Amino acid sequence: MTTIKKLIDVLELTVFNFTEDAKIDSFYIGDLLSWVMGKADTHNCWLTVMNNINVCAVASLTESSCVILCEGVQPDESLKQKAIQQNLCLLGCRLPLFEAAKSITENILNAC
Amino acid sequence: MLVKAQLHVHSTLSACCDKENTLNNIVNMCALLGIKILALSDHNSCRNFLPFDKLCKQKGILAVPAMEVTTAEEIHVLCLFNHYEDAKLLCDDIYNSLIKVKTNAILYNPQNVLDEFDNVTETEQYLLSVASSYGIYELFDKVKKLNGIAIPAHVDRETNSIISVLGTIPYDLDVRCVEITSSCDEKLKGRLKSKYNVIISSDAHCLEELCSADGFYIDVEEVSTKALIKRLSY
Repeated sequence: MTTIKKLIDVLELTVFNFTEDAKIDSFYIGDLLSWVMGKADTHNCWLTVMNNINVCAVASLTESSCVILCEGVQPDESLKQKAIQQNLCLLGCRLPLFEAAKSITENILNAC
Repeated sequence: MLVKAQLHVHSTLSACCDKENTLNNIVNMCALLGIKILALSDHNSCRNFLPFDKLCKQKGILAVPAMEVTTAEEIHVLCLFNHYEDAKLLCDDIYNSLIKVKTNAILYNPQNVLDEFDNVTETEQYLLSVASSYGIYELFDKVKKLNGIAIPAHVDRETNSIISVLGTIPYDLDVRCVEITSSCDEKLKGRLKSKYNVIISSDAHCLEELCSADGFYIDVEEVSTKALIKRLSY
């Protein structure tokens, strides 16, 4: 569908942690971690405003390709450290969730 | 009478819990610490209660039927009951309402149901700590109807606490007691104490945490679940 690098370039994302490029097969938006755990597919890109250490565990469980913290949210120190430790690709976007999804749809998915 | 209590401990049934937190280890450690009232509060389940109760009785400890419920909003609420049957009713309801997420052996420890000898009798495949379908108001109603008490857990924590999720403790929610961590800010502690009964529990996921938390003293009419719930609901 797309790749992490393409997302970073097109949406001009902030990179909190990045190790290697990977494919993204699907997208999921949500802040209630249980829902994300239960519903997100593997190799997803997860958009959220949650910024604590649990984000890393959920991303690992769902085998997310990357996480984008929207609304200009910064990861707290524990999340940042855990992301580095676990090689989780952690990105930031200044747009609100809906606007970020819209931008992905218009500039990446529909542009293919 | 003043007795030492520990109302928030996890056993091997909780996926984020240390494998060493078996029923015998918990009960023996609490006996050494002089705990007289002990609640085993696994995530969304009380399936380890019966053997735990048996072990507590051998050590002269009152076992309180309990569980730590995750509400739909992902708030952790400690629920204590008079009788195991009441806790079991809620436990079954909650289990049926959980989002089904398979556990992952790399990230989590196996969620083991134990017997009184710490033998594994069953391993739960679905993650128990996820959100149930009950919102916090609904959960408070349910627990009250079962003559138990619902206690927002670790309210000073930045994750899964009523304050972190809702921003406050709503005035129209019938909260009588809140749980704080031992590192709670003094200012917040003072504010909470002016409104609620405040308990400090270990939320122990390993034996070291259980040992260092050491429990707290509570003044109850007698050592019974009824007297405990009455005191905390006051």
